[in-house]
Amino acid sequence: MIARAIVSFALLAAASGSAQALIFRAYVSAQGNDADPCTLAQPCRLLPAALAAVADGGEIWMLDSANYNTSTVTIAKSVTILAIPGAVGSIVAVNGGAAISITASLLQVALRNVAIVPVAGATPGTHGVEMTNVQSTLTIERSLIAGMPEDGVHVGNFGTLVVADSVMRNNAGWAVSLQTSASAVVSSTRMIDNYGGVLVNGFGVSGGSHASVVDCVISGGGYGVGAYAIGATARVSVSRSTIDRTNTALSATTDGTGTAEVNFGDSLVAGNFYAWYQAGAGSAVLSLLNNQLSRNGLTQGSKTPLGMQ
Amino acid sequence: MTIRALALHAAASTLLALSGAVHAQLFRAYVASDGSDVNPCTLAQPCRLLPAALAAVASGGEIWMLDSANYNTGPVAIGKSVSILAIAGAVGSLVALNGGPAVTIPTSGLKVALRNIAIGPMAGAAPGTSGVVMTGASQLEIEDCVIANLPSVGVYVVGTGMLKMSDCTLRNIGTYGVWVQDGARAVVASTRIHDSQGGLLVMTLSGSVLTEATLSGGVISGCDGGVKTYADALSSISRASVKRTTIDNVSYPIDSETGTDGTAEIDVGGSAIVSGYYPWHLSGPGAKVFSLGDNQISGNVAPPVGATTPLAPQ
Repeated sequence: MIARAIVSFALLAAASGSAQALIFRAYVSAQGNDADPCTLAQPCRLLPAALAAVADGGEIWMLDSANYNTSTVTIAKSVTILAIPGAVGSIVAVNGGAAISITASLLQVALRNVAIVPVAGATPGTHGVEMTNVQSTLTIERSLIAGMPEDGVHVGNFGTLVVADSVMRNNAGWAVSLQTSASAVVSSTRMIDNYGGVLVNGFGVSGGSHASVVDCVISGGGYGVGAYAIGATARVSVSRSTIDRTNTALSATTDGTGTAEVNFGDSLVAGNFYAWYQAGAGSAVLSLLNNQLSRNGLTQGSKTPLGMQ
Repeated sequence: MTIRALALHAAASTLLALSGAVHAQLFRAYVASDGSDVNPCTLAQPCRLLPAALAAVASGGEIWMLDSANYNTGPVAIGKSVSILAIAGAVGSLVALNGGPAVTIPTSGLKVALRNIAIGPMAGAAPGTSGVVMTGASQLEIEDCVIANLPSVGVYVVGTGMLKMSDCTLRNIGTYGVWVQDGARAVVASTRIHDSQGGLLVMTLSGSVLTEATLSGGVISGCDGGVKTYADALSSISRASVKRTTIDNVSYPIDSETGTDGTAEIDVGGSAIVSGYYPWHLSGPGAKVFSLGDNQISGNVAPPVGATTPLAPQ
């Protein structure tokens, strides 16, 4: 650690030319201390201290396996938070709050190789990651979000979400939930035994939300993907994915206003109670006609061919 | 470090067995967070930064980043064939700062590989430009890497170099994630490009030159451009093939454009183009988009500009 300290300071000085109030990379570790400057030599213990120390656009590295928060971590600057490979970087949701809350607009936030879970025996939290009604971009890669009392990732109005190579399971809400004028791409991710996989809402008189689900597996729970509109547009596109053993695999519903659409291609929909559920004026389930549907129970409404182009 | 100490004897023996004698340059050089550039870059005495390791390693050799740290303070110019990798479990970081890229490959005839590397900016420092810039006619392989938050290009190849990229993530790039130009070739597989100005750009501005790229199993989202081919010189050709790729929330997902001269082509099959603005966009007399007829196109705002040409499955 002493050697790392010397090198770290030398590198920082060489790269920046002078000591800076905020550091481009902050560190936390199991033996860290929040009174420390969050450097590699003197890492902090918890994420809030590291967030205060890091420059806008910088990084926070979790150096070893430990939990790195005691309450909601509020992120108000662009930052990448990652646990180094081989470490479990845990962040918990407790005491009626989300594990992570992103509260400012125009941010680029990335979470990589983190595990977001509840604390058994503590007052429950809410979502894993919550992005309030802000126009920011959140990327989640190679992470686990499990056991949340509400959604795994809850994106408010206007937010943009990218999820890749992650697992979301046993969340009482949706794995991914989008509100109005939000968008998401979820790829190579497994969503297991949640209330639902990906929900897109389109509420209001204009605008719309949409999500793409690519190379994913959604299994168990109430829903695979859902588009629900009241007045605005909600759309989910599913490609090269498997939806298995849910109550309703593909759901497109409106209250009679707006547009709700689920389109799917090159996917397997198997063992669900409803293969699709289409209800309300302006709703549609569109099939590219190259899907594999088997062992499903019922269908509700119609499935419309979507011509390949 | 314990592993390194235990491996000292074995490493020394291996080196002697491989070389038969002590070499001036190593077949494998090492860098570590507690290394020093006055060391010989051996496993027992690693260097601290990549330039020292590049000087120590033999052409065709390897450089291992032994633990999680940053390994440069300025552009790393690669002038010999080398594989640079962070060992599994480590984050091997390189930064672009002070108006330069993180890595440059100006020399021709090399084979360079980057594996398990993270390339980004240094917040608070003078901004850099791109992640990797290859101007030499060399081969570059990039595997399992993250390139993010850079103001210029993720990977830029100009000239007759060849890029092969797989299993990478590029995000929040100021221009294109991958940009190949004027004779370069690229194969990009299982790679995600998000929230950048564009995904893949194939550009030819020199006469009688072919530039081409293949993109398969990828995802591009949240960009202004998806896959773009552009040509504007006499007999210039830019071509891209797109397969099993999802392009979501992109204004110009498939964009083929020429000036008064040149040919720009994109062929697309088995792909999803959804929730964008134009599903495809053709501009200029030499622009073409070929469709295999099996693409999932839905939820785009505006009708396409120009017509696709059927590409028959065979």
